[in-house]
Parts: sequence; C-alpha cells; structure tokens
Amino acid sequence: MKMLVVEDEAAIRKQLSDYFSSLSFVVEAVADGEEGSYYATEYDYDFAVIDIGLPKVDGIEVIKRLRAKGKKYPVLVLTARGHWQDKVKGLEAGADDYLVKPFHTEELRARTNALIRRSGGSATPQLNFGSIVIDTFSKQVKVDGNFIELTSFEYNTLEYLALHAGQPISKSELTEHLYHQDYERDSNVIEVFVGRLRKKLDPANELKPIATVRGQGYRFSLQPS
Amino acid sequence: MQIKSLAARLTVFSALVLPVILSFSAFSLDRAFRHSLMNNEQQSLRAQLYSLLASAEPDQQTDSLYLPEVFAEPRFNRPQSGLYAWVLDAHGKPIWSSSSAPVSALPRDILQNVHAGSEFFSPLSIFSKQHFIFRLDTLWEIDNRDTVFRFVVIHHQEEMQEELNSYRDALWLWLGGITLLLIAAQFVITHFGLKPLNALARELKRFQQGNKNIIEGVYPAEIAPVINNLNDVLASEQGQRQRYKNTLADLAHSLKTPLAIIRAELANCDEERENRINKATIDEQISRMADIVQHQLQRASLSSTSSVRDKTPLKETLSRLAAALKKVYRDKIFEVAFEIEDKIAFPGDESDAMELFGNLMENAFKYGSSKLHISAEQSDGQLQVTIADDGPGIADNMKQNILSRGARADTSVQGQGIGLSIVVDILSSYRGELDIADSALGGAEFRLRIPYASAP
Repeated sequence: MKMLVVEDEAAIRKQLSDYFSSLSFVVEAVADGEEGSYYATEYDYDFAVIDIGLPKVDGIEVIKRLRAKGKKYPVLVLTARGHWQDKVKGLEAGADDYLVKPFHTEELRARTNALIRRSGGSATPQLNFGSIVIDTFSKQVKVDGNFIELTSFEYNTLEYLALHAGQPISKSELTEHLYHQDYERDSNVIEVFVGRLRKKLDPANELKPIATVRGQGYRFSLQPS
Repeated sequence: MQIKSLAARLTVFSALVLPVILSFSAFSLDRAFRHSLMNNEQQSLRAQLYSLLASAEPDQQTDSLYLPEVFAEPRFNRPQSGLYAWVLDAHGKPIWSSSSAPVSALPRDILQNVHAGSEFFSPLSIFSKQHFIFRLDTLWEIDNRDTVFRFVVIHHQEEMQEELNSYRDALWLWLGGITLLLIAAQFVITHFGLKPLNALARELKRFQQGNKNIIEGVYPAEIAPVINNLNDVLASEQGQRQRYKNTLADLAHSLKTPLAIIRAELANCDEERENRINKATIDEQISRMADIVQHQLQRASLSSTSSVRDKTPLKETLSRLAAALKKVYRDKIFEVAFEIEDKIAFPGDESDAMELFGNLMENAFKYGSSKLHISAEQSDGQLQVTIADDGPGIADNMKQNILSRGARADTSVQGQGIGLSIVVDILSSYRGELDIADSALGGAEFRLRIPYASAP
C-alpha cells in the first residue's frame, strides 16, 4: 500500500512515517500544503493522512484540490483543535474520516484499515473469498481455516490484489504501490511474490486465485462471498 | 500638522473661515452703501439743476437765457465752494456760470451730443479732483424758435468720499469686533459643548488605571449610545478575561494530578521495579492530560459571552453534521430524521452550535445502530431540541453523573470521552438545560432547552 502523509510538525511526521512503514506501507511524507497538494494531485495513493493546520496551503484546501483532480483514495484528516467546525469542513471538502491529535496509534491503525477496506468496497475488516479469508486488521490470512505464513511483501501483494478483486492490476501498478518511488524496481520480484503466493494459497493448484492476464498483469479471480 | 483637540480644531477652522465670510459681507455692504451714496448724489444734483431751471428765464433781446446772479443755494454763490453750475448754448459756448465756478474752461468732450431732454450723470475727473457731473439738455422757445440749452452742475466728491471713509472705518471696526466675538464664542461653545468628552476621557483614564470596571456618568444623548456599547464590550471583555483566567487556573490545577502520577510512576520505576515503567499508567495519564487540554481549549473558545449574539440556522447546521457523520460512520446505515422548521435558529454562533450538537450526534452514531431522530421547536422564548437514538441508552446513575458533572475536566470519567462534558459546559454558558431520558427508539434521548435572550 502506498500512502501520503502531509504534516508540518517534524516529530509527528516522522512518527507517522515510521509507524506506517512498520506496517509495510510505502510512505511519502511532506511538510507543507503546497508540496502536499502537488503530491496528492500528481500521484496515486491508496491512502492519505493530511493535517488541517498546514503552512502555505491548509489541509482542507489540499483535500479540495486532490478531489477536484478526481483522486478517489481515502483521506484521513488530523485536527489539533478537535473543533467540530474543522471536522465538518474537512469532511465536506472530501475527507473520509478525522482523528483528533493526540491520538493512539491503535486508533490510527483501526481507522486506516477501515478506510482502505471501505475504499476496496468491503464493509468488514475480513475479506472473505470462500476458503481464503484475509483479515486486513491483523494482516493474517487463513486458507481452509488454517493460518498461513506470509512475508509482509507477500501479504501486501495479496491484499492489494484482493482489494481490487476482479480488476486486472499491472506489475508496474503493484510495484508502485508496494515500493518506494526511489526503490529500484524489478518486475521479476513481483513475479516471484505472485508465484510464492499461488503456492501458499493454493498448494493443489485447484482454486487458481491469482490469474495472469496476458499483457496486463494479474487479477484476483475469486469473488468475495 | 495635526491638531489633536476638537475645540482647537473648531477654533482654528472658524478663525480661518470667519474672516473670509466677513470680508465678503464687508465688500457687499460697502458696495451697497456706495451705490446708495451715488443715488443720493444724483438726486441732489438733479434738485440743484431743477432749481437753476426754475430761476432761468428766456431773454427775447439776446435770444438767450437770463439767470440771476445770486441763488438760494449758498454754494453757487461762494467761489471754489465745490458746487458749480453752467448753462451752455447749442454750440457748447457757456452763456452763464455760477459765481462759484472756476474760470478755467470745461473740457470739450462733456459738451458733445446735445439732445433735448437727455439726462446724464457720471463721475468726472476735472479741476484735478474727483467730481460728479449732472447735465440736462433743455428746449426753450425764444422768439418762436426752439433753442437748446445745456444745464451742467458739477459737484466735487470730497463729501461723499469722507462719508464713505467714515462708514468704512465703522464697518471694519464692527465687523472685526464681531469676528473676534464669534471666534471667542465658538471657542467657549465648543469648550462647553465638548465638556462631556473631557469627562469621558477622565473616566477612561480611571478605567485604564484599573479603578473602575465600567464607564460611569451621565452623557449627552449623542454619545450615550457609544458609552453603552462600550460598556457592553467592556463587560463582555471582562467576562472573557475572567473565563480565560479560570480556564488557565483549571488547566494548571487539573494537569497537576496526572503529572504527579507520572512523576511518582517514574520515581517508583527507578528504585524498585528495575527501570520497568508501567506504560499503561503513563498512557492513561497522557490521555487524561490530552482530554483536559482539549476540554479547556473548547471552553476558552466558547463565544457565548459576546454581547452581539449571532443566530445560526439550526436545520442547516444539523444537516451538515449529519452528512459529515454519515460519511465517517458509513459502515452503519444510519437514518437521520429531522423535525425542524427552516426558520428555527440556534441563539449563538455556528462553532458553538456545531460543538454542542456534533458531540451529541456523534454519540448517537457511535452507540446507536441505525436511527437518529432530531426535533426542535421554539416556544416560551426558548429553543427546545430533542435528540433521540436507538443505542443502548444511559443508565440512571450515569445520567445523573453526566448532568452534575462539574466544569472541571479532571472530574470527567475515564473512557467516557469529553464530548458530554463539553455539551454540559456549552449549555451552561448559554444558560440552557439538559435532560436525559429514554427514547421511544429504545436508546437515549437528550433534551436541550436554550433561552433565546440569555446574554449575560
């Protein structure tokens, strides 16, 4: 998952970056509204955390701009004052949820998960595909009722595909959402992850949950039940 | 240059403007007087000329006119008296002159264009002095022939000039006196007229020095409204200041407890527990401090003591809140029903309204399952709002707890959030009331009553 953090306080920006990185997010963090607007409108993310009180351009304006550009990814606003007027303005501008500073990381994580899940069209933290169940909160996967061991990159690849079930996802899109921009991209790595995932999810090669779409990439072919 | 005093300003401006006005008056008065003097002169010369005419007699022997040597008017008889008379024939040749007339001849130009019956009056410079000339051409029948004779009276201007000069002297003296009097009067009037402002300045000074809380005294009708408004602003300002003071005191006081707990925790850790800090305790205290700070921040920003009360359309505000909350709680399919007329307003500003109803509505979204019903009505000068949800409701002992919760944030129950204590705070600042009942939907029902005229 690739996300954007726009927060002017260096300490909080670093905490957010570190925290989301530890959850295997690809985090891009910027310090002001102007830069934030640029990133938010020019790139595609799976999620954004935007502080309301930002220098140069305020957070509400950043959200308005990214929504005006047609960006649909979920946005969580952070507000220091916690005033309802700020919350309502943020939500009216196009944010999906708010969090009042200071916050517990558990709460941040729960909201983040809920937002990402909802943007994938799922109402519960569990993505249920018959014998394959993905718990986006605990980041664990069950196959036929048994937990399977996945590395975080494998899990992220699976979650991204499963959240976009039915849609073909290109290797470059996967790379972009799983790695940092400045990371050296190697589509072979994706092939390796997908290969490993297929083995772990479907050892008998019966379900074929991840289909290869010729020339386009991969598609999670199971339908949520 | 800037003149600071109002009285000085008025005096300086009248000192500049008054002389201009008075100069114009002097000029016009002078002109009018001069005009009237000229008229008089013309009248008097005409009378003199007619007296000459009356005493003239045709002389058949000389085909000319006969005039007596001596006249009733003594100035015609005394040489160089300043009043002279001539009678000329049609060719401009003098046939008679008064005894007073100088021997030097009349200038030719005054003798031209003889027309019987024509009258002429004009200033004239003659005999090296300013004079007036009045002449009349007359037709006489002598020997059955019409003969024209010109009667000329010349009078010097000295007398008129003297009269004019003495009039001017008097005029300038009076007008100058009036100018000075007016400026002095103006100064006195403004000084007394602006006296209440001086009193106000002294009162403000006393206020500034901290001896007074309001501006006292009886002021004229023109500035009384300003003073009243000023007093309102001052009162509201004092209220605000008092609240900041209380908030600050509350804040400092309520932060002490969690800080003390954290310090004790740290002190204990070092010595007895071999550096193991009880994270849960510290986290709990940090949350408590965050709640306290937010609560006090909220209270400090309450705008209800402002003397100018806003009105916020209630339905619009609640609809915006509902739309925002539906977005946040979109996993729950919530049905929000309003029973509010469009004209109903919340008697305060939007931020207070949002804070008040935002907290209550969020509770309903958080604890309720699918229904929220909000109704409002205006009656007996107060706004009544009922917010009913279908959540688990509030236990009776908790209801009392919420309602009696003090203004101090550190008395709020842990884990309860600070939403309801903010609601209670805002309501009390609006002199409103809150009741908690069981709703027909199965959950809690919050009943708010806010008086419309609750300005302190």
